[in-house]
Amino acid sequence: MLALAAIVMAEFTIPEEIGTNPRSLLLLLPLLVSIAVVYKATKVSRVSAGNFLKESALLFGSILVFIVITALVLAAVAWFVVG
Amino acid sequence: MLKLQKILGGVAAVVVGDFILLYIFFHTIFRFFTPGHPLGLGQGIVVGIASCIFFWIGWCMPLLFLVGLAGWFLPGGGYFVLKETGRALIIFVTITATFVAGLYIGSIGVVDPIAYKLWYVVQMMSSPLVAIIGDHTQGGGFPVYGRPSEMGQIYTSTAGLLNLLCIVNAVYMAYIRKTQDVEQ
Repeated sequence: MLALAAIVMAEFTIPEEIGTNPRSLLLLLPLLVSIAVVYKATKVSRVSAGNFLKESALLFGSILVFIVITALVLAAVAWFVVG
Repeated sequence: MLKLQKILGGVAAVVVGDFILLYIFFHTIFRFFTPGHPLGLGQGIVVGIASCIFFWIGWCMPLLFLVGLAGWFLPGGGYFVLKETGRALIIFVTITATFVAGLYIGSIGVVDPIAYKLWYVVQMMSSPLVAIIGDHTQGGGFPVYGRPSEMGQIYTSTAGLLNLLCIVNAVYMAYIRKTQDVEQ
């Protein structure tokens, strides 16, 4: 048990290997989930499972769509400028 | 009874406030104070004025202070004090998971009160327990660079900022309830 705890603790002393590739941007998604869930937890008047999940999913989706639109606009601007 | 509550609130506010000011800001972040050594005149004046303000906050609003403090010590703690258990649980799990994910991605080296002062201040908003990690990592014992450092700091700092949002919201909720009680 102690050995297992030591192994788990040791995992937190070595950084993960993350390349500078487009796939690393997927790490944004868990963060987005956390932001949507916490924000909705502070905003809904009564926390009930169905309503809360629906509201959080809606916020998650709308932020994601906005990020994708922003990325597309920026990519288009870069394409026009750089060629 | 109410007066005793106010006095206790004031004393607790001074103890916690002075701990934050002396240990976290003066010692860990700005490094111009060592525990056990006497304060300089300027530092003493700052601590004195701050202590009066802390006492006043604790005296005037003991419940709001307690809610804010609980929310800072443990994410969602403020809501727990207000008996909003479901909300408290969701916030605790989400913020803690985000913070731990940041530590896993970038290692505990992303919490460094010397190299990354501003990030550290934001990370401290998750919980004062972050100071324990900061004590171990200060001085660059756990070096981390590049994308893992960036991601780890973003995750841990976002957890801190989300907890700040929760603290402010819980205190506001407590204030609204208090006002409604007085009106009734």
